[in-house]
Amino acid sequence: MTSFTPEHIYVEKQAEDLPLTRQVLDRCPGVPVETVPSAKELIAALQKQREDAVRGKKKLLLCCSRGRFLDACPGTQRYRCCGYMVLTPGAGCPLDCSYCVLQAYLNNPLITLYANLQDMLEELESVPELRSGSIRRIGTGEFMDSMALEHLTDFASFALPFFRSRPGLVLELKTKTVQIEPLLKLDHGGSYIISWSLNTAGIVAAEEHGAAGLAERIAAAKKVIEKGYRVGFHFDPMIYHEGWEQGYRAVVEMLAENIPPESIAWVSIGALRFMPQLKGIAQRRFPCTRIYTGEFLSGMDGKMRYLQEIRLEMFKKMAGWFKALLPGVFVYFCMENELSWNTSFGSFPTSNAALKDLLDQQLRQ
Amino acid sequence: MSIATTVSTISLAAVDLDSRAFVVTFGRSCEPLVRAIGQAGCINPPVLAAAPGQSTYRIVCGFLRVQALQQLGHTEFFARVIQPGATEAEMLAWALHDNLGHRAFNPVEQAGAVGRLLHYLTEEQVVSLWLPLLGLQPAMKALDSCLRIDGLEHELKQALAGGSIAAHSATELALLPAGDRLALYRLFISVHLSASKQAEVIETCGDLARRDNMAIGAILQSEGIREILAAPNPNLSQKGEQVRTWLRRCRFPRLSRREEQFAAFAKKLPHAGGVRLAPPPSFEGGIYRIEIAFSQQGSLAGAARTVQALSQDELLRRMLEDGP
Repeated sequence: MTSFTPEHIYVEKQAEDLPLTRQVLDRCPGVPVETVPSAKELIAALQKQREDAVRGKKKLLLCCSRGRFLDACPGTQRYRCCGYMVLTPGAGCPLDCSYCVLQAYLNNPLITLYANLQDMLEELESVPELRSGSIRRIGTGEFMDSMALEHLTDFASFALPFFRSRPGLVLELKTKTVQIEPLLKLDHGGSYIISWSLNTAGIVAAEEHGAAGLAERIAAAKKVIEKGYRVGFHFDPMIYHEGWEQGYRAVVEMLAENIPPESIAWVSIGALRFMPQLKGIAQRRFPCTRIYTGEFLSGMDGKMRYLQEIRLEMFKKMAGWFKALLPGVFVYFCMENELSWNTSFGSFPTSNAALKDLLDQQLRQ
Repeated sequence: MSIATTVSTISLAAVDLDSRAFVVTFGRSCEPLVRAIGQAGCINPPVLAAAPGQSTYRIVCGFLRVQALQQLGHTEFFARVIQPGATEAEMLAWALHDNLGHRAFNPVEQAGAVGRLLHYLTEEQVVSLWLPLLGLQPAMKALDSCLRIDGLEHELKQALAGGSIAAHSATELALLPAGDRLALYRLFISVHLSASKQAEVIETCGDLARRDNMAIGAILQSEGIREILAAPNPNLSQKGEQVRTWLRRCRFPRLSRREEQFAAFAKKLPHAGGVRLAPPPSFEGGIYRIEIAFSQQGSLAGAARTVQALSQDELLRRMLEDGP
């Protein structure tokens, strides 16, 4: 896979002289740059245009974030969530996965980087839960791929002093790329966990456009482990497709063969789920995808989910493979219900706080 | 916009009734106008413009009025004739304002107006200046929907203007290959389905076609559908429901099986006293519900006995533990 270079860069006037803006522009020589008075007005104007014309994943916006950088993961109602905290130094992603929820979730069609990162650090310094240690896990992979723009931003290097100054706090960098070179030279002190989203080779090839191959991701994980990082893996979204059983088993086998279990901080599992409006948007953008033709029904949170018995079929297998091939690795569900937990793992965290504690405990190991 | 006109008596034979350059009316009958003009005469003279390079006139405003005059046997009529100098764009705008001033456009008329305006204006101009006047959101998405409808076959436009196809359905149908589109159109005029059920059928057929790599036309030619449509007894609404159910069973085979299993299981349970066991919505999670239907307080006692029996029922216990 190749590193992302935008075809066009918008710079919000207020962000023009900020260090990240200067750095990104220096690293994108020859790319047309357009200064705009207001990112908000630009986005509003783009929303009036045809979706295809603006959602091309080729245009970058450098602007200032006016909202909070750190927030609780939106999670979902009526299913068990893990109390994750989301750090948002940007939004949007140059990769183009057909199942990506951001297609329906974000109003802003541009790949966006917030250049006022000094404000982000000040905000983090002021969060009492970070001082007290009640927040332990933060991730940047919710609204973007954590590493896809690293060659432009050096975000991991920029944020490291803050995270190193907070022992016990971990930033999870979640990616489908293999752009790990910037991480290999960092004296990270265990402050970062590097995670990969994984799927079957068939899904990676057909649905994760622009992302690295499966073997490449696992090879990249091995490299960062050699540099002392712990890693995470996210089988999310699991997709019920022809050959799913052999496909997912093969991925778990690849992990077992290549990754020392003690280096794995956690593994999450979640089946494809989506806001109802995503299907139409995604099928227009990806006319060949079949992933939305599964038996999806409206779940307790209003999101479309596979019929429970289909999820259970996949989950029980996955839980069994991990138990057999990577015993002792902590595996949990992202946004699942009691029946899924009990059927697959034989237990159910009594509350979201209990699941949060379980995950926080993994950081101490 | 100021367009100079003169009032003249024009021979009907000199009017080119085939020219539709400015005609926005679609799917409307001239019968009410025939009655009105027959009794009161043509109060508002139609507006005509000389056809470029020809000795005939094109109708700018009042196509139905001219049709009514023709039906009433008039050979000539008073008309306002546009003087040379007016542009085609100005005359189209006149035609639109003439209609918009006193009635709402149906979706085919909105689409036709947009299609014609784009001959003279940019998309951005049409979106910002005209879509609000046409009663549409000033957004590119609305313009695209209009263009899709404008490109539909004549019979589909007629069905849309006549109400047997919903506007949303029409825009979705426009995205399909012609064979699939016409197959769905034929279904929609053969059964009665509300707008939301049409949307569901289009989506279900699209999913099945995608999943099974089939054309929608082939799905709708399945024996099951043909049998439903050929049956003599049910009315159009009942046939529509049967088609929906048939398609849903194909689209959700495991869910349908689960529903049938549960229904068969529930029949074996105590259910006297208006008590009904309901599965979790979408069979999601493990929360079952009991519904009690009653009209008199006395019947609640019977229902309570049934609930008591259910609480000790061995079949139910096993199902809650293992699934049906």
